[in-house]
Amino acid sequence: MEVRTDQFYRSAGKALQDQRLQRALHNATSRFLGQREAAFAELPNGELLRVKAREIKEETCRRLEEHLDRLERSVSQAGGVVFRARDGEEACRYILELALRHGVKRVVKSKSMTSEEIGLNEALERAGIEPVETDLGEYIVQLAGEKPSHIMVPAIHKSKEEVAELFAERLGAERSTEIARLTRIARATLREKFLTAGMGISGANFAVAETGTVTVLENEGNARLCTTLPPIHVALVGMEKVIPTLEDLPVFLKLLPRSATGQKISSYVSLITGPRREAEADGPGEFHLVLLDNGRSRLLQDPYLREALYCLKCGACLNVCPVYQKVGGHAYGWVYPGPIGSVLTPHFVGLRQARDLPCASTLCGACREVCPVQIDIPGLLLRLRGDLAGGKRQPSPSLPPGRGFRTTFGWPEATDLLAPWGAAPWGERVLMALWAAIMRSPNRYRLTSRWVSWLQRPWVREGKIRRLPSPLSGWTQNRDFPAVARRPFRERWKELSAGEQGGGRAREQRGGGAEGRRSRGVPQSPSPPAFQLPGSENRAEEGMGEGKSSLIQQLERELGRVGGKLHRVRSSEEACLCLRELAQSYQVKRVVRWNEAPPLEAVEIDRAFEGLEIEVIPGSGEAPERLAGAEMGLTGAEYALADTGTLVLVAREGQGRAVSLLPWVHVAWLAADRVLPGLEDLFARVGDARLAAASSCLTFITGPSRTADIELTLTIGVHGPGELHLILIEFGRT
Amino acid sequence: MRATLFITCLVDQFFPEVGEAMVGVLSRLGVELEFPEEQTCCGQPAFNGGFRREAARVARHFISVFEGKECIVAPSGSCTSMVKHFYPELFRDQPRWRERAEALSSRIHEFSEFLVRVLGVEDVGARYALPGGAAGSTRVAYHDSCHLLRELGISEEPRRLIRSVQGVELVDLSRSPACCGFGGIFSVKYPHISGAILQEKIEAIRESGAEVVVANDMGCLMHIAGGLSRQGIPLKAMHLAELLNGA
Ligand code: SF4
Repeated sequence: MEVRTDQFYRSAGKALQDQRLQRALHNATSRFLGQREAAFAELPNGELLRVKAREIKEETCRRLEEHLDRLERSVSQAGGVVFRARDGEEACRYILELALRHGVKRVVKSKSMTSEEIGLNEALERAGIEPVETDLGEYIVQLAGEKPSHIMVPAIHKSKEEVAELFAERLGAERSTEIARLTRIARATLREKFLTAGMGISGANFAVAETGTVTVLENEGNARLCTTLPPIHVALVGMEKVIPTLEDLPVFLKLLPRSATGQKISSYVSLITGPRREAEADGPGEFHLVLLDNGRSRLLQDPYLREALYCLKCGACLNVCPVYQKVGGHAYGWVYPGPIGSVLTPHFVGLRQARDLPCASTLCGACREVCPVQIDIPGLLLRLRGDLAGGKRQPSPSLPPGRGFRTTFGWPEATDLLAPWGAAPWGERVLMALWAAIMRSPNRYRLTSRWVSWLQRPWVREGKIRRLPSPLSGWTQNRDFPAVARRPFRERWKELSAGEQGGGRAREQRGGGAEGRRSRGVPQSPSPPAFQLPGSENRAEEGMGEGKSSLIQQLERELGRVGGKLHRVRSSEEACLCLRELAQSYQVKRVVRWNEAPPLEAVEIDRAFEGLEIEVIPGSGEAPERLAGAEMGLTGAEYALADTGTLVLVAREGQGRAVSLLPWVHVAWLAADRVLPGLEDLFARVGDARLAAASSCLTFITGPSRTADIELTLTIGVHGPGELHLILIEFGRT
Repeated sequence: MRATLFITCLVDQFFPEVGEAMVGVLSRLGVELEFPEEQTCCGQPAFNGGFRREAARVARHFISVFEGKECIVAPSGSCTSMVKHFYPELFRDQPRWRERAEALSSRIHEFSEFLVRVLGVEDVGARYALPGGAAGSTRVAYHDSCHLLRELGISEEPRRLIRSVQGVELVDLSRSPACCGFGGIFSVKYPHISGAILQEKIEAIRESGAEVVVANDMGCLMHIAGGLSRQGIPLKAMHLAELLNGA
């Protein structure tokens, strides 16, 4: 991707002038911030989770090589192939060769900043392969020939009118500014691409060393399609994404969506371990994990900046940043925008090239406050500013050799001498040295003060200065500047101390002396909340009884909150009846079902549709095109999680991944004793690590597929199902 | 009670009346004050610019001036946090200076923190009179300065102090913890961004219906007041000390 970090000042100016962009930025950032806040308010122990997440990241990065080796072994054991790429070029070459070897003409991609980082799309295009971005926002941006401007909503800068125009022009679609329609147009166009692509490329949010599981979080379903339909799946993953064990995952699954969009959990979480197993119904036959270094191990060696690698790419720091809120993502000039971008980008493109970025912050600290892994971004920006100013820390290990900013003796390069002050460390350096010389000597300080207060006179009007000379002229572009006081405090002090301290000047006072005005009791800082370990929250008892029924009520509530619906039945017969009614109400013509979906028997399911003109096809062995033609997909489920309203599906023989993904309506059923309180309970179950390793894919489904990529308008059913029903069978309930 | 004044360079040179107000409030509470005249600046501008060597030079001067003082009070959250948090970091590799810096950390207090947490005072007995002695109360909004809020964790103290001033009504300022866009050298390097952030703050202040905006840091106040004045908005920006001194 083209590096334009040196144009920050100008691009920021342009963004500030763009009224529509300003509105969009305001809406998006304040919406996400508000939702984030609400989500954390609801989360007990949120702070403790952040501490935990931080610890896991620190610990992992301390022994990164070990974990990476383990990850590599696990993936190979699962039948996948691991390639460790030293840089972007190697990664691109590997993926290209793989594609060419298999005669791939079209690649579908789900959102991955890492692929932007290495310029994968450009590399594919050069080789005559069509890369298709499938996240709705990314797709819009790609069609327009632009770059993403926000981590979560890449097309935040586009209005629905612009999208309509774009679709009409590029896809020949009918012109409609109705967002739901636009989304359906994209769905239809991209469906076709998914079904015909020879390769799917995804990123990953986490890679579990213990099991070799890559984890992808998303809301639209496009990542599931990318990792399910094409015959080859390539996961391009930065090496810092590794986490040690499956049990570390829940902490992040809780923190990441909450920090990003304020969701309790993303609509879809895919835990992918290797390629499709022989007996499994569907999934890619080949799985490749490309582990990317590209300067990360160098960053890891930097004792200060290494913590930037803990970043989860949640975008919370962008939303809360007063600078990002105003200039948006494009101004930052490269892949990673916002505060964390200002830390990462100099590392990748060279500090010299990106030297505006570390200074583009007010150091307000809001980013550090929201960061789920507590990255001290202001501290890191200060470090980088230190590197720019050429402090003691030379040579900085974070600077790429030869591309860095050589300042060992603070010696400028020739261009600095010519550049205006704002961009010239040279001028700054002289001023700072001068300033320090003045400030460390009370005499010089006094003298300078007198001198300035005399010099300023011609410019002062009513105690204010409306125009300052360079290098301070920036201030008076839009603000008045105060004049230096005729008599500074230090000169006034003598009289003050004579007057006030002697109690001379009488002033109106209320109450008695200082004692009498003391507030009753020194205010105490509130006692810290009692901490609980994550996972030790009160849990309803498992098994039947009151605990169980409140668990089911919770499940019903949470499922409802995310747009799904729970149907409670007491027997298999009732379940089938419910199924029949659902099929009728949606007027479906064709349903596809798992071959096996306990506790219901296949024959029971088929009988449910007797007498209706509905074709029932088993999912296994069917071509995806035929599955895609079905309006309703029927599956069982492994578990349901009450506190998020999540269904857990496991890919197995006769239990295809596409059945819950391609049709517009997804109906699942589950015996009530499979309802668990939450994520930790799922991960704590003995054998789940083995479960993950034994199946190519565990999917957590929370509500229907959703997007807010066009003007932040929530739209249901962008790539995956638009309707989700869970039939809960409470055997023996009276 | 004895306390040593650290009158930040900004206050000393541009806003001496804030220092005076602070002296007024504290001495009326019976605090005995001293002002070491060799003091200059804490070194923050250089530190925030990444000029650690220059910052350290100035910091050493600060330390030698204030060393041994029992209790230091400053009218600024960011300068206080500079001394409290960033000095030890600045001298991380110089054990002797680090030790001396750390000795100061616990002894320096921001003005409102000093009043509420050290003196235990929430009501200084102040009254805010409308010009001309007109009756009625004045609506005051409080802006959380970033370093005071996030480095020192102080947000309730100033509010309590403001609420107890007679003739003052503390109004809600939406997004009060949001930065005003000052950011030291940032405000000069990126005036257009700084100004745009300020605009949001000014709009929030106007929406709050406040007649006076109060903060505890002259950096923010100089920035906010500069914008108000340029746009001809008749709103007062003042330091907490001025309000408590019955300005
Ligand atoms: S730095 Fe922290 S807040 Fe910013 S994107 Fe990364 S994880 Fe999220």
